[in-house]
Amino acid sequence: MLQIKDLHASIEGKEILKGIDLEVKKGEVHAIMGPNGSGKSTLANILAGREEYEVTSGSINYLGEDLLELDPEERAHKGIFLAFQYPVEIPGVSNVYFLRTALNEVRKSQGLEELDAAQFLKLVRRKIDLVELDKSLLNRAVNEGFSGGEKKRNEIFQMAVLEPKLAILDETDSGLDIDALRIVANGVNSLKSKDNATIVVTHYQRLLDYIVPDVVHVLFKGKIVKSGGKELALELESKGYDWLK
Amino acid sequence: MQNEIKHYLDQFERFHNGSAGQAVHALRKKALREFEQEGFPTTRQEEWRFTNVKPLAQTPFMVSGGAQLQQPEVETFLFPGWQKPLIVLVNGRFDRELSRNWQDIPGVDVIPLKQVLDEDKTLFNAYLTKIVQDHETVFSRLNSAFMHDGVCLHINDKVRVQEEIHIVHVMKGGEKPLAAYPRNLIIAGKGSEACLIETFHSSGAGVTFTDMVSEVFVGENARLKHYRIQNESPEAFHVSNTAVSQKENSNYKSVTFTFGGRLVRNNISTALNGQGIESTLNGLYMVRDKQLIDNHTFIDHARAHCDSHELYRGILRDSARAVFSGKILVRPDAQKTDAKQSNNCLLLSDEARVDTKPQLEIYADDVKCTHGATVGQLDEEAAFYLRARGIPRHKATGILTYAFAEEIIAAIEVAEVRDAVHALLADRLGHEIDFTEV
Repeated sequence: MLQIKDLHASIEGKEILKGIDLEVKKGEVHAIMGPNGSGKSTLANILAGREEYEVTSGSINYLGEDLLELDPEERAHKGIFLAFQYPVEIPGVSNVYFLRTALNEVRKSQGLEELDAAQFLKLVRRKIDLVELDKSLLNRAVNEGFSGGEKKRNEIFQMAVLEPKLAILDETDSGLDIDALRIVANGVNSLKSKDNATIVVTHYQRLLDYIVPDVVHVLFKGKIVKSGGKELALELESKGYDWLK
Repeated sequence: MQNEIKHYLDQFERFHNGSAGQAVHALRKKALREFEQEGFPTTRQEEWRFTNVKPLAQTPFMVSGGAQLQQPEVETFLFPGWQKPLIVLVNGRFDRELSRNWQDIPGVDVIPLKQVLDEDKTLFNAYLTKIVQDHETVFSRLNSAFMHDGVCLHINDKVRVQEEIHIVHVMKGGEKPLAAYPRNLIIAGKGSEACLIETFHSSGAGVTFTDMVSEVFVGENARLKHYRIQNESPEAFHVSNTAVSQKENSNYKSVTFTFGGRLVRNNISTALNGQGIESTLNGLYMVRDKQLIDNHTFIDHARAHCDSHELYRGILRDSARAVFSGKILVRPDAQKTDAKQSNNCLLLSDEARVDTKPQLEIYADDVKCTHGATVGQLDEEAAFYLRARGIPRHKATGILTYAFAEEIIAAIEVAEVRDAVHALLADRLGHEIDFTEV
């Protein structure tokens, strides 16, 4: 599904990623761990198409296409979803309008009929229970005045509605209490299928108690320095990141 | 400059020839003399520093006579299915044929202003020029010199007007540049309630100039809402001078939407002449190409325990320019004043320019006054968030622009006004977005 080859990227002239190689297949869950500043979020954001980062060399192939040639919206149309580390507040735009517009843009790009307000609401009612999100938040402005946990659950709720092929969770666990963490993880797990894949970017092992990865990668100073099974996460938890230095 | 003034002196002789016997003539003469002395402002004057009126002053506008407008064209200016009171002014003149449902609004006297000038001594003596005289600008003087017609709305004491009243101003251009000087007198009696909607339109091509004065009296404990949507052609010059006087415990709310015109200057001043008054002056403007839109507001807190709110938001494309100047005067007696002012502008291009100037003069010590101004580009972080969910860039821009404007639009209770403004926003953004469900 996704092949990243020798990816180098920088922001404002500073090189952050220094040669990443990664392959993710359908049905897999990959965890990317690493200390602060190692480049985890940079990688997640480059996959989603954030334009501040400059890819200086290397390639990303997604479902047979050159991902770097696509605009962020085109990537979303083709099934890429980034759960933001810091979801953005958008005063004046209701959550429900935002999400319906997004879903209909994705459907349009796939040649599907757009959903009208009633059809959309039916779908939304089904999906919102998955993340135990208060229905009143639907009519509120996007993320405005949401608690930290509500914002993160709102990300997973959007993911449930948009049904991506490749979901990238950028530190979705950070700042969550244990209940919210469980809810988020349950949401992710129930959306898992043999046709989609998930990349979980996290600083802590804790989330991986709930979302069990097939492969764990350790990112350090812009490179993947170690990859292994889920037991690698436990090893990192007990040893910390210091042994990498 | 001399030639420019002489042009108006000549116009005065021609236009008002034979009307020297009327009572209004003395007022006109006085205003003309003051105009002659003052002349058109230059950018060296503080109040006009950012707005150069030279293109207006140098155009030899002829005072428009009566112009004909066909019913089907008027329909295009109305809110869909509007059956409520409608007053149509064509080139500043009250059109009895095109207006409807205006003679039988319970408790409201609608009188063509010409009739007040010619016949109604009571209203004339009690109100005409009584408010604007404290807030004169060269353009209000020019209006007084050429005032001829307009609309007088007299809402009687304790009357709650059930239906909104729509005043349609149409400016029909001609081969030569044409000017109109509509004069409004709005009197909201004690304890009355009303909602007034004014819209401004152009008919056909041609350079036009509307120089309007509205004098608004808001009586004790009266509530008046005053919405305006300006959507004239890119050839139109437009100066509105709105002078408001409020009595104790009254509430006046003005929302000025500006989309059209080449050069638009909105002067609005409210005098809070009693305790317990609330006054709201809001505005929203979206301009493009080389349009210039200038809002000058003045709130005069004369007495204690009054609140004023001001929120002006602008959206600028291309090389458009916007000016905001907000003056708040808190006089020594105006203790416990609560005044809030803010002006935010969104620049959608690098060539657009904004000048904003808050002016607070406070002579009382126990008051709350805040002001703030922001000028910024589109929130790229928010745009990326929308795009990452699949919403194309142009639509993301539209949604965020809409959201920026919505704080002002959402507070409008009249659905027709909201819909009209949404439609104009979508049009100015240059693509189809259905904002009705946002």
